[in-house]
Amino acid sequence: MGLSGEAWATLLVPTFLGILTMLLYGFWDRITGKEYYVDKEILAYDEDLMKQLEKEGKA
Amino acid sequence: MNSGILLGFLVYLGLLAYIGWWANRYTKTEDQYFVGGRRVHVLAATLSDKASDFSGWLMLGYPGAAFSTGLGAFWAAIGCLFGTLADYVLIGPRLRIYAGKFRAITVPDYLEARLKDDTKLIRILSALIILIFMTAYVAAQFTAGGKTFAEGFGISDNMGILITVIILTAYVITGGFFAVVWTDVVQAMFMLLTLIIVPFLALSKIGGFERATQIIGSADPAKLHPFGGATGIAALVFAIGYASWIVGYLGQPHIVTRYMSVEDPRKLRRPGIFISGTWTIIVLWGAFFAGFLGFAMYQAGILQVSDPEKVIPAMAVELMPSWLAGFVIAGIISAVMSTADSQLLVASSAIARDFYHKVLGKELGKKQMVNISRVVVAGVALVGLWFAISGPGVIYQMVATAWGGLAVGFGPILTLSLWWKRATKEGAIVGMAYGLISEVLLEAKIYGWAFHPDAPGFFGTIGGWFNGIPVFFINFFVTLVVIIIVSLLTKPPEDIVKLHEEIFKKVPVEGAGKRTITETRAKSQVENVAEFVLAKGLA
Repeated sequence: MGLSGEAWATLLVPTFLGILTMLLYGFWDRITGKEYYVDKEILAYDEDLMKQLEKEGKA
Repeated sequence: MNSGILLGFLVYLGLLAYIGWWANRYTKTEDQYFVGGRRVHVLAATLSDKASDFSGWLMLGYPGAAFSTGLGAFWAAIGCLFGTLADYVLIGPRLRIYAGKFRAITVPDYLEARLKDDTKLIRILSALIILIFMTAYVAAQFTAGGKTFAEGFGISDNMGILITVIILTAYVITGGFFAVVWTDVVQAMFMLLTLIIVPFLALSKIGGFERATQIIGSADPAKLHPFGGATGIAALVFAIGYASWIVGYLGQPHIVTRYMSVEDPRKLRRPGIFISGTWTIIVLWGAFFAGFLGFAMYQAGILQVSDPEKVIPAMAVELMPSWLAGFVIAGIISAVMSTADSQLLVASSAIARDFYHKVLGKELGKKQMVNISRVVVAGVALVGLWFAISGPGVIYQMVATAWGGLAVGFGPILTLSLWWKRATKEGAIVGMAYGLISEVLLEAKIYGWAFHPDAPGFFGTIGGWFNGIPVFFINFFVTLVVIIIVSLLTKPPEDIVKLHEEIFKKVPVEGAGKRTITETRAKSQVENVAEFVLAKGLA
């Protein structure tokens, strides 16, 4: 019996649209050549954590 | 009790215990306890995002809906997929940028700083919304855990609830946010593998997809229809009813906190959205087909199902070798625990951080604040346990009410505050107060999950207009409009408008100016050496 064309479209069309959205957003910085400005103040890692990671040689 | 199932489960439990112990080393401040020091690896943050999002609903509630409704239930998967993507496009990177700038640990921290609210009303309202709805949500997860243990190990639901609470509270207390995100990674893998294995196994047992659809079609042809047999406006209402989950994603504190914790906001774009999106597509297809094919197996007499929400545990116990069943049971419990642990931590942060530390102004030492947070985690877990044992047992409805409350309470103000410089604290206070009160009244007292014309008086008229559409879906947009109107009638401070304009400035992508290897080689060796010397300031 299988599924009708309408049923397959319900399953597949939104899935492909989702993948397309992922690709567009994921590479938007490459497409436009621009990305959000980020510096140490914005990253704002916890100081105690950084000290411990440095002590363990992980930072 | 089956020893194979027990062995599979004990391996899983051992992993959780190890992560809880490991994470305890990095859990010494409030920053670390609630948001992982804002330095959580992108893989962990994004997988934890999805594992926290997809709860017992994914393994029990949703397959149950696919079992009962058929193909039409796929609209919920569509809503969840696009909700996940909307979170990355609209919320993730911008929230992480602001969270870093303001050193925000919780969503109320961010909202208070962003809207420069010195009245503390935004923080109090936020904490109330989190406490009221998140505790119900945590209780729903405990109930789901209890059902799974009952099915897998043959114990009572209440005993299963108690075991769930003890295990997850132990590692949340010990390891805080780091333990929660890294256990979520393990749990996300268990969920992924479970939802790949179960549908394929079901397909092989039933004898192929053609035969499955034949059985389903002869039992109930509406189950093969994309809109459950509805046409016209009724079909649209049917689709919105399921896909409405999408707007809810924008306001779930236990999900968006993951974005605040990630090591670099730019990584949420790539690889973040790819990790989350791909994982989401696979598990939603898997969960849908597990329930859909489970119905075919039930109709063919291959599978006994006492409750549609128990279709996956029933498949595991009745059809799989015991070691594999243990693995699947662990996968279901993973789904429950990965959500419950995140919600427990967020609910506790509302008390320990937002009320005790910030509203009451109690500032103790770093270690003492973490210990207070741990006590609060235990307290919230006990309240959730009480709700789970004494409250209603239908997971889908409980989660839907909590999901709607958080969606309306936080979704509109989070989205507007990240994208609109004119959003004001007055707009936020009125909008969030409206969201909280209206959701409690409309969902708990007047309509329930969806609008209907049988509500009393004027509400019945409104119920007739939106008949069948989930309350929170409409209420989300009403709240959005309320916030916009009040914000337009009031004025935001100039400094926060200026900050908003500056903080999201975009710069050329790092490395965009770098040349390819071919371009570099096209230059002579002398030219390359000269360029290097100049760049390093050696000449």
